[in-house]
Amino acid sequence: MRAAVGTPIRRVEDERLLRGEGAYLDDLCPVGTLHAAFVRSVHAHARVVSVDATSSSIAPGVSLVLDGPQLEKLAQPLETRITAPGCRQVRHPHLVVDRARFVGEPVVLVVADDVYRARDAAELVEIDYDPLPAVTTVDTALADWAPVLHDQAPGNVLFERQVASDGEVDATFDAAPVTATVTMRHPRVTGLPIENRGALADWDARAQCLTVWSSTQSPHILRGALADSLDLPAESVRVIVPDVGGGFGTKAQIYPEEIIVAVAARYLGRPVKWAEDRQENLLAASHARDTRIVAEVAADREGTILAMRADIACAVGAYGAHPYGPMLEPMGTASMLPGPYAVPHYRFQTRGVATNASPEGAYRGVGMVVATLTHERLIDELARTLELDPADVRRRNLIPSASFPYATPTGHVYDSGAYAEALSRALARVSYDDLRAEQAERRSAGSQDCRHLGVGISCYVEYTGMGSRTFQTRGMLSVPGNEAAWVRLDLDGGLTAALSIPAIGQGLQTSLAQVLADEFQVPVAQVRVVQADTALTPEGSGAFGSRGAVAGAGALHAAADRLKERLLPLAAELLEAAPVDVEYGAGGMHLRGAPDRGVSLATLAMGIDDADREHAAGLSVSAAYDPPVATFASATHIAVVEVDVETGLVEIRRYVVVEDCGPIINPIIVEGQVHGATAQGIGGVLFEELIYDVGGQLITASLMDYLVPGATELPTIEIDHLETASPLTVGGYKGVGEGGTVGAPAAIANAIADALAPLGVTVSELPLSPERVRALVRERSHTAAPTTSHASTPAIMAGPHNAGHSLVRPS
Amino acid sequence: MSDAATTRRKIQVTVNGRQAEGEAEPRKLLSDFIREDLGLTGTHVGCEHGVCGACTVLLDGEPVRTCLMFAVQADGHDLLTVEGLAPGPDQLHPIQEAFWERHGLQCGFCTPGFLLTIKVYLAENPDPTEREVREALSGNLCRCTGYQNIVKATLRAAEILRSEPENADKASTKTTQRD
Ligand code: FES
Ligand code: FES
Repeated sequence: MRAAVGTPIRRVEDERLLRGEGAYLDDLCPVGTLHAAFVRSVHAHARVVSVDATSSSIAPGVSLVLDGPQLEKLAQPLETRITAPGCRQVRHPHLVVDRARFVGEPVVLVVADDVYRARDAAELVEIDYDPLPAVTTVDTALADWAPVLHDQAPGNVLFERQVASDGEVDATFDAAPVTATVTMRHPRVTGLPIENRGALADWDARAQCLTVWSSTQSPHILRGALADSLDLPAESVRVIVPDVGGGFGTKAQIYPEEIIVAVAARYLGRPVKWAEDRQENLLAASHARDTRIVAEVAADREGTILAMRADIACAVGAYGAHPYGPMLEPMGTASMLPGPYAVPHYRFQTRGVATNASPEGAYRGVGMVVATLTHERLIDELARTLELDPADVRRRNLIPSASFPYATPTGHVYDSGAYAEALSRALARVSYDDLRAEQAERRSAGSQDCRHLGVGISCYVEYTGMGSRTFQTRGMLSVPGNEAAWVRLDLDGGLTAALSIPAIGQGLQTSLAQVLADEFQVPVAQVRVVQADTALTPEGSGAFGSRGAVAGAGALHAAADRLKERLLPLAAELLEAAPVDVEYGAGGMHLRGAPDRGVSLATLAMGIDDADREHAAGLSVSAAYDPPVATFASATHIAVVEVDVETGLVEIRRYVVVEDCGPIINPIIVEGQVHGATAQGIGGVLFEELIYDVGGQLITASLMDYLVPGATELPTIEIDHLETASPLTVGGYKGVGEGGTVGAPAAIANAIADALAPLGVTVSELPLSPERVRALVRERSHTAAPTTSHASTPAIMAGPHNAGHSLVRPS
Repeated sequence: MSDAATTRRKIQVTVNGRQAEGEAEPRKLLSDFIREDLGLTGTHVGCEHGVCGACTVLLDGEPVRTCLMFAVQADGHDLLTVEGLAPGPDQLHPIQEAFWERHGLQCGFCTPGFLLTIKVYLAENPDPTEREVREALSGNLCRCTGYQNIVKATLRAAEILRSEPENADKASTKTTQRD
């Protein structure tokens, strides 16, 4: 029975939020709460010579001022346990101890009775710095003269890996009739939830217990970090996640500030709260991408891919984030570069380079954004070289549905999908042939129109819902990967479930209620889902990696089975039958083959109430679920753009997504995820960029400077669905949280490149802001402009062998 | 800190139809006063520099960014916050209804600012086009929805309000009777 799953029911979360009755972190303020402010480094790289907090600590309302060495006496730095080869461990103190490594790094904590007074007092702290040279780009950080950020990481390499599928890669390139090269730089960006980060801690001296409310995506991982750092048993730490105003990966890391407020609360015996402001958020919440990549593809004359190779380097910032370390972007990009295509031979070299910038963490589509951007640019370049239609080259190389499970050269095993079907549907939806005809006509007319039509296709596959084996294999030992659920049959016959995964806007309270309702064949109104309080929910991993539906549904299924098992003897007793003759049916248990002779959940609940203790133990159960290594969602995006070559403005005329996240639990929620994720991808390709100047000052530290798209900048996003079930997950579900962000940059970049193709220029750097598009157009004067469409061979393609080899051959 | 900046001043406002009184230092932001002193935490702060629109409330019926105002500037004025939008505990305002129906919110953090901005906009523009709605909302940031369903919800709210124009008034008059 699939009564609730698949239906677009309104979200149960919404009424509260619409009335302004949500309770976000900064809305919480227990009696006696003190407020924290941080003094942050104004230098990108500097030795801290001295900290003078004399006048700060006697300022009105101040109860505590702590610097790094003082804090170290109260709490241990976090150890990010990464066993991945090529990964270097560096020390990351919660507050700067001797050396500040990025602008915005917390140096001193000030706690006062009022947030205004805490900030006043923070301004009175005098810090004497001895500035050091700073590096903010991959190239400068790897230069001979570069200052070394960490003694443990000579050359500033925090992570590096070289992998080849086999020994044939270079020979295949040498023998290949054609090759294409793409050089790309994706800027540094950030998730930018509209709610900033925040944490509130309270210490119960009598019970020796710590409670921390945090707007985190990973409550149990935070609990572990707090326990380690404050040297407490995990059972003495409770983490509660209130309503979260968006996460997108930014809140999936464990941050020093979350630990520091807990230390302060324990030290002072009072609740202590820190609510981040936007400037702090841009300076010190996790950043992402900042990747430069050179990639090549070798193919035969029909466009069949023979091999790929790539050199990837990411500026990962001053430290590896806890618990993921410095490998998120570098490894994610490398491992997904083959994308949805059959690539027989592949080699990559990838590095995570330490820079004087805020540490990189997870941000929607981690790694896969740049991987998709690159493989999709490669396909288009290959098509241009061969004078083939880019859609045809994709069709030729997409992994056919009959080939699943499909092992990629990087060791991923794609479980299922309908890649070619998604492409055909998207092409049909935009009337692709008509668009190409319109484009040819507009180009051949020799028109003086300053608007150029471009069509960009993006096909991708993404790993979602990863289980424990994935994180073990990656060497990320502090990330569990599994998920457990607790389910109780309430005395009124309702069902309450509790899971660790927080509510960050993704609507799990509704979609998991739909799943649970169907497990017990009851109406959704009869079930309730409670989230993210480590005192109530069994262990889980959190809301990241598009895992909520996969891990949550799996855990609920396991718990539902267990609860039904526990109820069986009681039902048998009530029905005066042998347990083997009783089975679960709609809303209760009945005699096998006789649904009319049964007992409802409400009756069973009353039975539990009356029954002996043995039965009472059956009231609630917990069960754990370990998702598969990964289940792979996929999609095709097509963008149709008009590029104004005089102003550099890009107008998105159509935007179509055909997505496949397996069976859909709630269509409105799935579409909402696709909308929001796609919008973030569009922001990343057209507007967003965190810019450090050469001295390491962040010059985009406000929303006036870091531009996220508004309602007028975004197109209508048209969505169509395929529902290819995963053979590996409960319900066949795949994750959907990140896909839009993965697909959009490639679609828009390809569309702009297509629009500008007659000018003989190509796209190699994002964001494609009006200034950058104008710069590309101006390049035209330096390049002999071919006159025809995408079938031309632009100058940049000349001699890709020479251009690419030195970078991508292993040294 | 000079005395003038830290001497607390008395502030009287009408908020959601009721009289309220508080004290605040002249430097205290209106957003903080609403959240901390009036206890109305539905007004959110996303940037404290006037860009995101999450802190929008209506001051004498006009949308204002409360992170750009001092609490003392609201003295003697009439405020409507998100908590005062619904006619009562059993009923939502048509704009709230439309947001619920069309999935116009995900994390809900930006939502109060959108609701109040839209209330004023639709009162003046009862039958907008999609393009006009996008322009009207361009001063509010949402990071979750890509604005798709916020735009749809706004058009839907306009439709509901047009079909029962008394709704809009009812919403504001009922508010004053609440509790
Ligand atoms: S908080 Fe006021 S505009 Fe952002
Ligand atoms: S719903 Fe999350 S910011 Fe708008």
